[in-house]
Amino acid sequence: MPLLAQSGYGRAEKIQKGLKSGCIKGVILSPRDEEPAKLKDFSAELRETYNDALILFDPQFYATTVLCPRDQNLPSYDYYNNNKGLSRTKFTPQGIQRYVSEALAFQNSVQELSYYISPTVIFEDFRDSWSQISLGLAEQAIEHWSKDLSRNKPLLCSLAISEFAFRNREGLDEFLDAISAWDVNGFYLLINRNSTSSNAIFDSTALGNILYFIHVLSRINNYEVFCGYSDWHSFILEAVGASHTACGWFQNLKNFSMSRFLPAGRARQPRKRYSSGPLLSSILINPELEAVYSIGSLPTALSGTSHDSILVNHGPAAGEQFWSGEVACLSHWETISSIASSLSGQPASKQLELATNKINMAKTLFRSFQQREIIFDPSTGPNHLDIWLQAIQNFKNSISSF
Amino acid sequence: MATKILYSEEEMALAFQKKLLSKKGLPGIGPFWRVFKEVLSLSGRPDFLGIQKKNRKKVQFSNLNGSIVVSSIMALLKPNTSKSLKTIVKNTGFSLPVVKRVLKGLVEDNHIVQAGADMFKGTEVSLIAEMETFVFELKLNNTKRAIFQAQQYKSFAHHVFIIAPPSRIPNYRKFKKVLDLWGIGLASFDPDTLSFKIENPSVPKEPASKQQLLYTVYNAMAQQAAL
Repeated sequence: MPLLAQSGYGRAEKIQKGLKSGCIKGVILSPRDEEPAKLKDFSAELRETYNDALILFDPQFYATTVLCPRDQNLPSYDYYNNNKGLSRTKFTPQGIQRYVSEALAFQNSVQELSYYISPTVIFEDFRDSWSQISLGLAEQAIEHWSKDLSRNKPLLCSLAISEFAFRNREGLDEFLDAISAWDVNGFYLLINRNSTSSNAIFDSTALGNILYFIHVLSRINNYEVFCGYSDWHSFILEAVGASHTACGWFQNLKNFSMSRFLPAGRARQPRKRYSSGPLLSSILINPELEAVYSIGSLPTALSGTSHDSILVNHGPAAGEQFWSGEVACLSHWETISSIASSLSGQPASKQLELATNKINMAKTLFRSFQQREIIFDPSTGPNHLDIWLQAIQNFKNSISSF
Repeated sequence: MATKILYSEEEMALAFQKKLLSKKGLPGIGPFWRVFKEVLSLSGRPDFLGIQKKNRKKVQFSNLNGSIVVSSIMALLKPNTSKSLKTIVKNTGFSLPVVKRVLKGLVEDNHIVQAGADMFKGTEVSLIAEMETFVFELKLNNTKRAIFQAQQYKSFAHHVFIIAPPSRIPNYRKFKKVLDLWGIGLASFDPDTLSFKIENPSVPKEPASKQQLLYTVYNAMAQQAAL
């Protein structure tokens, strides 16, 4: 499954290095974090060096509905600046028409983009008025793309949905009925998390319904489904049919939340983590990985990436100072990507079984470490693994009655 | 049934601070040259950081700010060997413009010396060689959390002690192996009598990360006056 870089602040050389190593297959650009000219230059540079890289652009139009947003470079984009501070009443049919044409016009001006992504707003419930606005924006985008842009490249309809909305299965089914009739290439799906912290555990009912939502769109209706900010969930999303997932480097580029666009205080320096494939978790280098090392079990927790030698050669605690943000990001991408690759190529029915086996193996490994008195921070796990298993079970129950 | 503790963690911390700052310091450990409370580190915020000097030599603490870039560069540069700009960028993981800007400031303030075009080395004064750091984490309850935090602090401190009320010491028995493996000390402290007793000695060890040690000490020095 092709993993994409979810771009944002502080990209430096991460994307180029990720593409070069093959652990990512493209990028979703963030206008909040780049001026238009710089973004265009970067797209051109990528296209020239990596001809087959997927380059997408999330218009981040949802930020127009936030009052006093932390929108950084977004105001330098006309489609955003002309329309910021939108309330519900501003989404008239004429308004929607203008927002869509402006947002797609900018994307049309960036030749290197592989897809169009329609503008959208976030909604909290499948039956609320914002969900209707979201549908209106997507339908207008399809019309504009068909008539005015002559479908000159594929279109993804963007959906930004609160995780809480997925608890309402009835509303979800109605919504699926509406969107699964669209004549479009696919969807760019964002799940608005309630919290961006690394221990932001999903509700298992909501996650199960998200899996169902993706499955219906991809496997039943043959749409491409791009899941943004999917982090560790990537392999489960692929197992149910997601065609692409994306993940960035900072916590706010791994989990999608509108808090990224809201005023905030100064964040504290994040503690360094190692993405352990066998544990399916980003564990703290110190003390968690160091504790594993101290009992002589380091190899069992390593993902086998090309960056592991830094921690193996020095020992985790001593090697932590060489574990830069860039190394952590590339290692994380390599780990997520390799887990997902181990599922791809398998029949759809087998993929979920393999994903479940991986989760059970991670649970066993966590348990064996805990039995040897290794203490894990609650943000590390292993509680998330039980939630994943429960969500997969909920999903299986849903499709068995499909 | 566990004995009820009639004081809060803050009250315990106030009493412990008094003991730390006393002329004789802590029994079995001795007095401290400097003591700081709730210091910012890259591995959490320990309740107390005490610094002992290894000898009577005057230690010149630089007035460096506690940024992660400064501490990463200072940890990398040694007085006898020069390092190239390229190596510094590669080993610290920061971008070239950021490293260049910080190096310029460090050279101007004589914290490091430029040893040729794009070559740099540390100065003769080795801050780390002159001091021994002690971290004290006070906990009334939550034994596991105390051990987890203590393990984190080993990345920048020579000694780490968990301080618990005497009645809570038995809760740590089942973690004896972990405490010994990590060299974490355990001591009881009674805020009513100010009695301090080492129950499990700390094993002194060079901090795992020189960079984290410098970051913590620079922050302590720059952001707060010693108690």
